[in-house]
Amino acid sequence: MKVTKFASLCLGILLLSLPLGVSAQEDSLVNHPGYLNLDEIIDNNQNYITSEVYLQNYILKMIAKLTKRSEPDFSKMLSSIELIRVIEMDFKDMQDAKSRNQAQKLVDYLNSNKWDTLVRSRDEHSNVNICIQSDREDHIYALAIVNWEEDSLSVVNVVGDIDLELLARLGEQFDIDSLEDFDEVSDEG
Amino acid sequence: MKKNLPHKPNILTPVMEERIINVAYGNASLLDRLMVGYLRTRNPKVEQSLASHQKIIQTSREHWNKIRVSRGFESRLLAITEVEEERQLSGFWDFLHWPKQWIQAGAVFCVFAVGLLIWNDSMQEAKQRELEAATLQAKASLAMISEIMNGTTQTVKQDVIMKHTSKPLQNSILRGTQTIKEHI
Repeated sequence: MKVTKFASLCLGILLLSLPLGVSAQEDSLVNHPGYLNLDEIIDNNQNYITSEVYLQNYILKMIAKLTKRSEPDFSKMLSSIELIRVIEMDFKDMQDAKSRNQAQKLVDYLNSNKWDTLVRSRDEHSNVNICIQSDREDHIYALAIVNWEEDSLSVVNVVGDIDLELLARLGEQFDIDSLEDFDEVSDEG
Repeated sequence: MKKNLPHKPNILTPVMEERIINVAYGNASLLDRLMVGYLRTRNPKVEQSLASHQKIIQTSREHWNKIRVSRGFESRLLAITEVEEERQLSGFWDFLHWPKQWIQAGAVFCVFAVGLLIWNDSMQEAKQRELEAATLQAKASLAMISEIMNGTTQTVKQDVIMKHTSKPLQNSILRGTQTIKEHI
């Protein structure tokens, strides 16, 4: 009887500690200096979001394990990443001022915080800002991309050890046109 | 002339029979025992009666012992049979003798366990699908990042702001964009 009680107690503690563990991971991620808080933008533009990706470290590590043999480079890169977050918004029904406004807000935020702008590309119809955070000369631990194109806005936030060269090379290898294609797959799943 | 002898009375009166029986059983008084002992030497009928009763008593005692023995054997046999039956029952069907609550608890546990197994299977499938979807998401995200960087490649050399970045980092960026160019 004592053993049963003890086992029940252990199981209870384990079950209670699981969500606490996940919650602790989320807290540490939110407090990470490279974490870009996009909750407000998402809340204010719910109707315009066409796709959203939010992959935290535990799932990224699972993917890394799954693809360790088949795609070693991809696996290696994911194993060192804490978060991949992507939001795509489409403001077709609105004037482009809306997307530009949102993009500008984000860029202002990045500029006023600990982000270094690596690339800024502008023309009449688009505006791309690639920002990073790094603690050592060759060590990038956060990446933020704000990409505005007339009536659409894409925001990317990657947290973790980032090898830009590998990231760019791998991204090219994946023949995926857009995140919207993925959304269909996900919905079917 | 033949003289008629006086009629010899029958000695085995019911009273005498009772005395003989008592002597045979060993329940007679001392006086009865002396009387019967004396008469058996003088009268063969008394001797025969006593012997007959003693034989009956002896036979009865033997039978009684047999009955007692057989009854003991029977009880032991019954006990052995019951134990054997219990042993036979204490196998697979032993749970039939469990308390009702135990059986109910067992049934609930079985249902729970089966439900857990089914749920676990479906969870595994869901996890698998979720992981596959997440893998696609990760790849799509990298592809998107790469595409954005690719879009900036043409202007990166002019517009790249590197005042905050070190030389190794600049090289990394340029290598990254160069890699993209090579793959186009």
